Amino acid sequence: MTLKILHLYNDLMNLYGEYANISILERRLREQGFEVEVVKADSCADISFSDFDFIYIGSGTESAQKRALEDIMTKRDEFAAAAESGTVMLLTGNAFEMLGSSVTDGSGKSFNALGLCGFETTENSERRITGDAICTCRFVAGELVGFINKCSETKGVDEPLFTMIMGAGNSINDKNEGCRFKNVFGTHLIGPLLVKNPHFTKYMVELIARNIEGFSYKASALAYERGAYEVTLRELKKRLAQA
Amino acid sequence: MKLFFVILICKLLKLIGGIVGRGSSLPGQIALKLYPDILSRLKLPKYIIAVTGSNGKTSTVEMIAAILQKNGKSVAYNKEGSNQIEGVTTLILGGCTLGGKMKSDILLIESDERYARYTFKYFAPTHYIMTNLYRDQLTRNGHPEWVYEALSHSIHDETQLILNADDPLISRFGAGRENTLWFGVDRLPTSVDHNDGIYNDGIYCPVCGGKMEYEYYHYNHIGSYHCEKCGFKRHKTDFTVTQADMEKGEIVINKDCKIPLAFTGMYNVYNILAAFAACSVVGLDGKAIAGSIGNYMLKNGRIVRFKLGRHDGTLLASKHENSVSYDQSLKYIASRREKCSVLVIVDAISRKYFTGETSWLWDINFEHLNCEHIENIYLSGTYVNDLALRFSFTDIPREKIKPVGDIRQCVDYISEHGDEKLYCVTCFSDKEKLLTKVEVL
Repeated sequence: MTLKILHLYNDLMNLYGEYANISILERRLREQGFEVEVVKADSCADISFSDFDFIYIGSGTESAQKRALEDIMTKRDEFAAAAESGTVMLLTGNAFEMLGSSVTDGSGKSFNALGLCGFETTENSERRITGDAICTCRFVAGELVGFINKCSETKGVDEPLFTMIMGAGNSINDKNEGCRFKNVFGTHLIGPLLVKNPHFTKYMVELIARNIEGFSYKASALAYERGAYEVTLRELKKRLAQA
Repeated sequence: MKLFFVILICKLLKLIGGIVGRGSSLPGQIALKLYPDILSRLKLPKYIIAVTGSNGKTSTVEMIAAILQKNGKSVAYNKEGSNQIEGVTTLILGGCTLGGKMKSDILLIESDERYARYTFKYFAPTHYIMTNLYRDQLTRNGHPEWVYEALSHSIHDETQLILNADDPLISRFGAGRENTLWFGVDRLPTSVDHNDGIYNDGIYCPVCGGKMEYEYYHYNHIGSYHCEKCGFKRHKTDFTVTQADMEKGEIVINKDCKIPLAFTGMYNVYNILAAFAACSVVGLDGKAIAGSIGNYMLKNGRIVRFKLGRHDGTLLASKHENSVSYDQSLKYIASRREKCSVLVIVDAISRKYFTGETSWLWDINFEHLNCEHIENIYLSGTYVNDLALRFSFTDIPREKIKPVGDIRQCVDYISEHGDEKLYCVTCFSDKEKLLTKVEVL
């Protein structure tokens, strides 16, 4: 059984080592006995979204995100159809913003976005919101760790993904972060989220393989992953207690 | 009268601060509170040279100062690396008469790239050297384009820019500025035709977003490029490394200025070249510059030699959260081709602030260490698991990789095993954790 992964805009939206999400997911899926094919694409022109079991987009500069948005909007309906049909997708950093109805840049110029969800994002070119993050997710046991690095606020999310314990939510005074739409996950947590959170990755693997007959998740040791996660969570909690 | 008193207070605070070890930033901070626009009220030297960029600022400034001093010029510069407005104010007021006149021939300023716009609000450098813009401390800096924007607000019309032509993003600053001077490195035997980094920040044109083509790369996105779409391209250079022999450890600038190198890393070559350019604009002769900088050993602790057990060690201080800095150190080790082991320590990610962010480890090309002559790779520090996980995604044979989280234990283990050369790659935030446990030479 071969699972197909699409890493879209892998050289445009790759600011924070995000390719590692694909590396770790590929390794986890192989451990479960699957063959994995990873397709990297700098444009969706020759891509058929419905061919894939998992689609990923990482974070980019503000200008890179606008270029990615311009490209993906040419196949807006196909992308939406794949999302509606239950394809698992993860969009991290400012790729998350593309799932909403619009992104407005620092100069006030507004760009239409995919519109899978109704939320709107506004960038501020003077102020960056950065910081370590701890959050919870109602369908995964145990906190997640990560980092927020953005210059925008997102308002009007109906179904958020995470609840923040440390770090910024979608907008000021909002503890909710990211969004979920069917099996599409959007979050402003940047970088190799799936490397840092092995329990969340397990959830992704189970979701990707959910319709495969006879699949049952085989546990593996993951000593370094667990060690890295626990140390980061411990260090962040120390900081949280001091604050 | 106010000027007189504020300068006096600043000098006194600097004196006291020097005794208690907090003299580089606080006096300037207080002076600015008392007199916010004091920097616009002073008589500054004829030459004000500023240096900014992601990597190489401190080393470049140190070398410029060394060359100028050897050639009889008096230079005031921020050698402690306090490179925001408070540190710069301490530097300037500390070097002024009580009447507000700076005494040295040249004022030389290392400036933080994100805060340069505040430092240069009240006065303009005569020359402004910009070294490079890399992914550096993204937990604070966002990303290179974000820093580019911030930096663009620090440039005055009357300033002459001295730019690294080999860095596309830096080169954008030269648009429409006729008197800009450019430095760069010609194609060398060590140039490569592909980007050997994990990512390629030179793949898209910083002006129009089109695809860029490279004639060659020196490292990461530094090289000779042009945009297929809008025609943006590497500018021809005024100060050029025309030849380099890294085996011998020698470069030639502008065809006839030979400079022997104490250290052959490519970033050292760029720092020397930038220093050469700076000293040329204040009127020094190329040969005189070359004569003053040959075999120069940096004093800022970037490279430290030590003994550990039977190992001869070299610390290559690299910057956490800066993959280019790491890549450069790793490539240097790979290029030495001598039997050795490598120790990588990631314990405190920054010395100035806390973060647990380790994304940057994935941007470092640790595959550079996949060489026969490298025997062991020791990993240590709080983030040892992150390091071990990162290395598990390289093709380096597993048996070479030895994670020992506790730095003491790790150092003791190395001390008791083997006699091969040892390289340590770590950051300023962590280097003392090694250096206090070894014999520094």
